[in-house]
Amino acid sequence: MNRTELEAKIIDASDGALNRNEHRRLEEELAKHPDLLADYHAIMQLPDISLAFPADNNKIDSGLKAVQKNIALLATGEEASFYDISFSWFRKYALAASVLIVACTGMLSFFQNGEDPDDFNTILNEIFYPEEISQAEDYVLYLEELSEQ
Amino acid sequence: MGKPTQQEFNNIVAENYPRLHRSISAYLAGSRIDPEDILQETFLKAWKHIDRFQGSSSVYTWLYSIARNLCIDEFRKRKHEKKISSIPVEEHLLASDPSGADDSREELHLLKKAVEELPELFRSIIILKSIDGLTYPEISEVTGVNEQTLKNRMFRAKKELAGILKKMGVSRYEPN
Repeated sequence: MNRTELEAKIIDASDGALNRNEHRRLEEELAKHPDLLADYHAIMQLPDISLAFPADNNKIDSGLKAVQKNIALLATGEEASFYDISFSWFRKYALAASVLIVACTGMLSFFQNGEDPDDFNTILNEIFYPEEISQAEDYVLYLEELSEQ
Repeated sequence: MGKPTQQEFNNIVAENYPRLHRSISAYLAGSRIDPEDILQETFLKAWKHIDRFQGSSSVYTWLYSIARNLCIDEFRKRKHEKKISSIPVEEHLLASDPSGADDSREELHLLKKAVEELPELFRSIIILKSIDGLTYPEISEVTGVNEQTLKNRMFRAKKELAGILKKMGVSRYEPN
């Protein structure tokens, strides 16, 4: 066996993967490599490393609860964002939809009432230029009256 | 894997958190990084990307890979910080206790410090095998390294561990 294979076998031995015969054969091979034999003895004397790192049950319990709580918050957040998306879509396009509905209604009335272009113009004027009280116009008239006085 | 329900994912968390906590705590021992922070981020990331988990490895090794990568990112950010576990050798030479109970506790304490002193490459494999109990094929999935190389790396890791313990004054560990 070459050195690389022997090193792997030493690790198999330290993992408890070799039977008694395999141990014996390994030690016979290692006798030809004194440095590796010393490494083998040192590694085999290492204690169980897991004993140096016991589980901290208090921290595990508190950490576990915190993770589950955060997952619950995240899951709720994902549902809320879907609601927000659909509501903002409605608000964004509601105005355009309402103008379209009014225009279509006007066009429909035109076709129902006849082919008089004046009716069509009247309808369009009512849609785009609704009658409204203009305070600016009154103010201009007031200024004109003042100037005439 | 399709997205599980929140309850199903909670079961995955409950099954894997304790083992992962122990392993990542050991991996981060001696650093200033909080294992609970790493694990919070690990599971939140896993929840967001669970549909990317293809099932070719176990759920545990997938979660461990996420956690390990987060740890490595944190180490990179903090590479200029001095390790708090760097204790001078002479502090480990203590008076012997006739009953032997303190010796055994002290030996475990020194063993923990020695593992903390290992380079990340060696510490990682020792923790995965000795604390987590993963097989070499599973470690190969996590690290992307083939099994033969892993065993050779483990040899060098254990040899170095024995050397550190000798420097700490634990005389029975005498590597070549």
